[in-house]
Amino acid sequence: MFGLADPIVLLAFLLCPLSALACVIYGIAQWRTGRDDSSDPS
Amino acid sequence: MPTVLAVSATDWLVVTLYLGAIAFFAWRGFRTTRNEADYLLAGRRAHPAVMALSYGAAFISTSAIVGFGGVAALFGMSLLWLTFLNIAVGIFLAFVFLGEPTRRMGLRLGAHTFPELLGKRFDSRAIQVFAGLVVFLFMPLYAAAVLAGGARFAAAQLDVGYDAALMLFAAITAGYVIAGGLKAVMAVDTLQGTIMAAAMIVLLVFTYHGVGGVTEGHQALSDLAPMVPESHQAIGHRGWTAMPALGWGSEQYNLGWIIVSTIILGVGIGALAQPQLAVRFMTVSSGRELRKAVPIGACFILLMVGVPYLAGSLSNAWFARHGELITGEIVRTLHDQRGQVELMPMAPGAGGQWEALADQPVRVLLDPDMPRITLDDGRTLRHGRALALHYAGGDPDQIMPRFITAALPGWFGLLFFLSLLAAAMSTLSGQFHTIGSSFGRDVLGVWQRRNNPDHAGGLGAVRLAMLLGLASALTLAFTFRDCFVIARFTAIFFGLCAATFMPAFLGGLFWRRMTRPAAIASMATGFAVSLFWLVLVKAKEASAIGLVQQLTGGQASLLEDIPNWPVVDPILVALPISTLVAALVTCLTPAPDEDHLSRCFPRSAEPAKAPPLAQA
Repeated sequence: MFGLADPIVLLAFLLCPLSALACVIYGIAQWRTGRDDSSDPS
Repeated sequence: MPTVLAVSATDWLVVTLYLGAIAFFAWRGFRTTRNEADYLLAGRRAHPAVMALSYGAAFISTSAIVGFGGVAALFGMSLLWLTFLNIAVGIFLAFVFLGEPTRRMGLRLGAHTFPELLGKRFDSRAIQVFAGLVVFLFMPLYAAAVLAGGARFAAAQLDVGYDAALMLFAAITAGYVIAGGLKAVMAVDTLQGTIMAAAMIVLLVFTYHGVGGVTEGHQALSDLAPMVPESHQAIGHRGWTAMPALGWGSEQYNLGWIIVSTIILGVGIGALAQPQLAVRFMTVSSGRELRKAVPIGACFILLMVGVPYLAGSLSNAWFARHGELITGEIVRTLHDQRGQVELMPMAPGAGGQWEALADQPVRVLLDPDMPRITLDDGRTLRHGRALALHYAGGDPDQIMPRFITAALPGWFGLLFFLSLLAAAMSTLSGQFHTIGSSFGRDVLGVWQRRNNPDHAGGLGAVRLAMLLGLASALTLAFTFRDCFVIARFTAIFFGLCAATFMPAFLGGLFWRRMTRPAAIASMATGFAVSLFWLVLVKAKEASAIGLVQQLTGGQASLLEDIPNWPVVDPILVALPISTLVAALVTCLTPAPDEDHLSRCFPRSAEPAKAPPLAQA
């Protein structure tokens, strides 16, 4: 797949953009919520 | 293939505009700085995008792009695990789980620097001074490495002297840091981060285009595996798209340990306890602002760390397809079907006779379209192309500049040049700022307040300390200009920081029970074990420092005879020990004062937002 025979390198190659994409989705959710929960939870 | 940039009038105009923008941000930072929180923490009200880009730009230096790109050309795409760790740990985990407790505790305790945060959390001036001294004394090593890397690149590209480039480079960076504090630093970082990201996008597109596409390029790189140099095969290199051999107890696992321990863990995890990065968590106004910074930080790191690794690795496939032809006699076949051989390079001499150009054969991919040359004595010569390192003259640091000159359009040279200057300056500015604040506020400031509790502090000492840091970094960069050790300074500083600060930093944030003696003991142990490992055991750093050779009569490591230990990063040894010490001493010492803990960890649901601008 993608010309990468070693599955561990292939995994790293896929995880890099996927983890960045997950961060983007997480961040968009934060931008969209108006909630500011910076009060101390403890 | 020359790598010197042909500087046109347009190029000078772009560079002048770039320097003008830096001067503007310095002036604006100076104008809007009214107190210590402004100067040291950008007023605690930085925009999430600015914080994210500043965090990333401070982390990525010229050597991260050029140096690690060169390392990827040597060792391949297994380094992408570092990119993933940098995104998952260095950005997501750090911003979401580490950033908010750091920001909140810093605000509650009125801490303006990383050493001050540790000192106030454990109610100990000694901790603050010790951490400040570690930063002040050792960060100039890291700054010297960044300074030298940037100056060497600028000198080579513009064809000016190294000394002049060094002085100019340091003066510009120190100028805007000293004048505008962290407000100027973060604003300039944003500009520089944008330039760096744009350059990496172009580099990625042209690299894949040059090797025929994503899958085709990777496949071409995979097919080059038989051409891995023997010296690299011996330490476990199994091709540019394969993980190195992993195991213990034999030289053939050395590369695996270099990649896993030094590069992936040492840099990937070690970045969490970097004072110049941790302090940026305290520059935003709330936890939500930190979380909003996650996508920009992640995409920036994906580009800045991922692209050089991909481009560096794929440069081998590009040169094997498009590099300058090498003609010679086949002395050994590496892979018959793929036309991978060792050629003894030859060229026609003065008398028209073909003569050998070198003593050592070169591993090449034969070009089947080029006609064979049959000599009078019956020998046959073939044409082929070598891997990236050959075209870089054997210097890994030259691989990326050579690749960019050869494979990318001419206009990209200026963008790449600016992006590397930006990478060096943004890292350097963060270092100067941290050095200044560590000494001015955490060492000198504590001493002044000890003698006079009413001493109001002030920024004069911080600015003076920045000049001292600049002077020591410049001295180091001049003194060790041609020495191998300067390339190891970054690893030395990262190694020291991780084990010295991480248990006290993480324990201080997440473990209420952790005590002051435990923090002191773990920092002292982490520092001592890291230093011992770097000076006497880790072969690359130890042999560069030179003490171990004197003590052992020439050995590069105290454990030279035991396989793998000399390539293990100190983070794998010193960090577990300092963590264990922190846990043990905490269990053996009385719990901290509850009143103090209530100041660090509030129980009520009270807000922990940055104060209004007027009070900041």
